[in-house]
Amino acid sequence: MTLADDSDAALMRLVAGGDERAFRRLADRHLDGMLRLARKMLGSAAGADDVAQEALLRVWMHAGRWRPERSRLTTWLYTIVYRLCIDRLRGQRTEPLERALDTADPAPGAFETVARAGELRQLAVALAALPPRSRAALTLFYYQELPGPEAAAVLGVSLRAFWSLLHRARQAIQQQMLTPDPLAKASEP
Amino acid sequence: MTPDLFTRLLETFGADFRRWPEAQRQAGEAFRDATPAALAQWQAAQHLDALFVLDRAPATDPAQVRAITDAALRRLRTRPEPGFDWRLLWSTPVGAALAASLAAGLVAGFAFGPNLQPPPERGVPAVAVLLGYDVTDLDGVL
Repeated sequence: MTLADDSDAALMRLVAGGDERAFRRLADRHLDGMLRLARKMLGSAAGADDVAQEALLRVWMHAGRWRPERSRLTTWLYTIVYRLCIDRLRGQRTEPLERALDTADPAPGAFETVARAGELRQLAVALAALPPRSRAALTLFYYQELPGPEAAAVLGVSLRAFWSLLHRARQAIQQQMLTPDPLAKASEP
Repeated sequence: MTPDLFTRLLETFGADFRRWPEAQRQAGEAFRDATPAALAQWQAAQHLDALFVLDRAPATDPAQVRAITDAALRRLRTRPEPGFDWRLLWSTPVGAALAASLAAGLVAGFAFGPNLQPPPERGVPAVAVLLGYDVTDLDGVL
């Protein structure tokens, strides 16, 4: 049996009426993006799974509150995920940084692979060191590739404020990337 | 395009000019091509953009998506029935009227309640004062 209209709006109407099949279809379509945002925000796969599950519960319980004429579904979903992540991050500010440092060593290979792995580790540390809102701005724009106005809506800020957040975030990352990777130095013979 | 504006735009939108505000795209590209320092800056920004792409997680395994969805549905099935939602009172005219009269009663009770206290020597029940009964008739009843 197939769903005749599987647009987000049609599926959300069905979910609001308690249709589990429509709920699963929506999860198949959007959970990946929700998980990616949560992983970058929290720096933890397990934490991201919990947040995604909680976000799905909210979707089921409040599906009728989403207004397709006001926002895209992804904006609404990412807003839920973002706020759940912010709640979770309160009181555990140092955790993402510690987790970012807990990166596995790259497999032995070409120098370029090792250098790239070092850069990615530095990037993870730099991302984790950002304030949560800046991290979200950077993640939504560069990782999720959301247009500026949509990303600004997720964060609940004006577009101007969003560009400003994004600028500061990218600047901070660039700055951090210029400093030598302490782990790379420590592992040198 | 000035060097400062070019730097600011690059530090906000990255090296991909398609992300830049439309009004600045052409000027930005021209400035990069005409200025060696701008080209070096642009290459550094391009390198960071490439790292962002590399840092993207691979697509989530569909089995994991199913597991998270199943877990959410299990929680929904096992959660206790919600109690009465008092916010519903405000969603219908009758409910709103009931809630308003309840609130008015509470306010009146707090506002006038102290005035209905009986004089200590007579022990007059407050309800009797309120209803205007002869206190003596109610002695021993209330």
